[in-house]
Amino acid sequence: MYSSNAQVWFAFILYLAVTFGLAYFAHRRASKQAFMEDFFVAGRQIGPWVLGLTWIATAASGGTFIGSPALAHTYGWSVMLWICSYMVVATTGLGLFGKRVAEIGRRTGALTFPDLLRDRFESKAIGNVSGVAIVVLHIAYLVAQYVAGARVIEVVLGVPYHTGVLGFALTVSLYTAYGGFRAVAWTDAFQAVVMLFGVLITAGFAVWKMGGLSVVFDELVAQSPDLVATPGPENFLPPAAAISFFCVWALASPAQPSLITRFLACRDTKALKRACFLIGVYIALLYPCVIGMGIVGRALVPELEAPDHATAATIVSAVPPVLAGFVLAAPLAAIMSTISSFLLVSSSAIVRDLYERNLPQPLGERRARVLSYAATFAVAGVALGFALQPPQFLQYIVVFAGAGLAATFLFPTVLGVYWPRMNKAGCLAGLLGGFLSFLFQYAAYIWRGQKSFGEFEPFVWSLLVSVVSIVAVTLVTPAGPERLRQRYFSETN
Amino acid sequence: MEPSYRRSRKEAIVAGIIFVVAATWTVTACYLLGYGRPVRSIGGVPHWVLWGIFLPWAVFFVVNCWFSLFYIRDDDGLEAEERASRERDTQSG
Repeated sequence: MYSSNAQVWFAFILYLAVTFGLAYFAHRRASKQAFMEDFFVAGRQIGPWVLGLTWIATAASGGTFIGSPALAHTYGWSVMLWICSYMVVATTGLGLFGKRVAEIGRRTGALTFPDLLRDRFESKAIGNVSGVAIVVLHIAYLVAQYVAGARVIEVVLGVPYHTGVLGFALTVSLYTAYGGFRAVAWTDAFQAVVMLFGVLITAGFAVWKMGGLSVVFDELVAQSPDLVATPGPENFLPPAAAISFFCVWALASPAQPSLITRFLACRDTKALKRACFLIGVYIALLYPCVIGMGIVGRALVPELEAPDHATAATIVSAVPPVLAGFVLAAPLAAIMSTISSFLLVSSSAIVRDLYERNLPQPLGERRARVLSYAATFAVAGVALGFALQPPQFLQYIVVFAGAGLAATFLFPTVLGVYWPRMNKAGCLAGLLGGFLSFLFQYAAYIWRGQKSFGEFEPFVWSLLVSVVSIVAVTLVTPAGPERLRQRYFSETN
Repeated sequence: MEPSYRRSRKEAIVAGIIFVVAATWTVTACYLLGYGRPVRSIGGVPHWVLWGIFLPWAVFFVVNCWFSLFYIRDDDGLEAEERASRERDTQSG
């Protein structure tokens, strides 16, 4: 433990100072523009570097830095197969959603993800259902992030768990509420750079300290041959699960409302193209090293108090103290960047989608400002309440929330922006079918121990329910108004 | 139909095909080489990871570079030009 090391504290405080400095400058710039558009989408002026880095910093969460290495530490090389669909996530994310969503956002003035669906189908119900699903599932996601952050601080700085959770919640809520989307995007960009360097340095030092990958391989085989094989120990990843998770990461990640909001904030298609390239490069460097960190960590530190201590324990064992302080900022950066994005997308769902869009007239600027700040702190408070009882494996909460969001929103979004015939009833059926079937399968597993059919992840079946519901209901109900088709698909617009 | 919509739809279909090819390669290769079979080390990496994950990752990294930098078309300028041209035609007509 580095709790007595002044260098670690110095690096941590320096990291926080830079983060708050960026939030301060973002706030100063934001105050000169219209509040809602600036607070939620930074005036649609985000360029390629910040867009790419904020996208990846939001996607790479506490689950990536704490949960995934914990799984790799427990289940070995099979976790590489579990996560490998990130190899195409830049292509699917920006190819399926990015360009089209950004174009529609610029054309219709959508500020949030539910805005996009609500306006496409001219339906308050769709906006409200989307808003509720976003708030519920993002709170689950936030709980995992708080727990991850507190565990890192607990291991590294010796701060008690409950104090760490409270500190995390307060710190991130403050800079998110203060600077809005621009602060989140700027701090995300900074945090993405910190993350990448942190992971590369840790993975490099860990392999070097073990004497090379071949030594790690032999050590793992000596501990258990299952650690280098698939499906891994305890049948971790049977083939159906491998297929499921290939779909989960490549399709679920880009369908997250917090990531789709980033497309609404981008400046133009040129920025989007460059961001897509940048994300591909970043992911190719980051993810194999993150999982590698857990695998090598198993050889370096076989016994852990809790699986989620794998990242911090590997850093502490492998990285020289002079660098450790800066490297330890990497998992904190991943967690903070995700928390800030989720707080913002949840507060926007409450203020914009569940409140303002149900009022007869738009909110005044002062009231919008106060409500946005209040919603940010309220969401943080609720997640904090749940985080005080930490679960064993964070990554399972991340999978639940991320897959739940994708099961709910993937097909309503994809078909909504590409299929002119799709109507309001079809969209609602897809949203409710995906969301409720997902919750039903998880409930059946938790209360009755009943796994989904064929041992596929619940997400896969929920996607099927969602797409079938959309197509069936759309085809048996009347098409939407012609003016909507004209607005979204016709060149006469 | 609007040109940028048609183009985005085509790009989305290509992205979908890339996803399917990547999924098929990765899961099939790992299943055939890894599940229930003896594992060999190639430079410290299990052979099923090398051929089933790292090699396709390298290939799809190159594919993403092509897709993002060359295949996705920048329609913003094109659309603005087309709209301006239509407006001019309408006014002159």
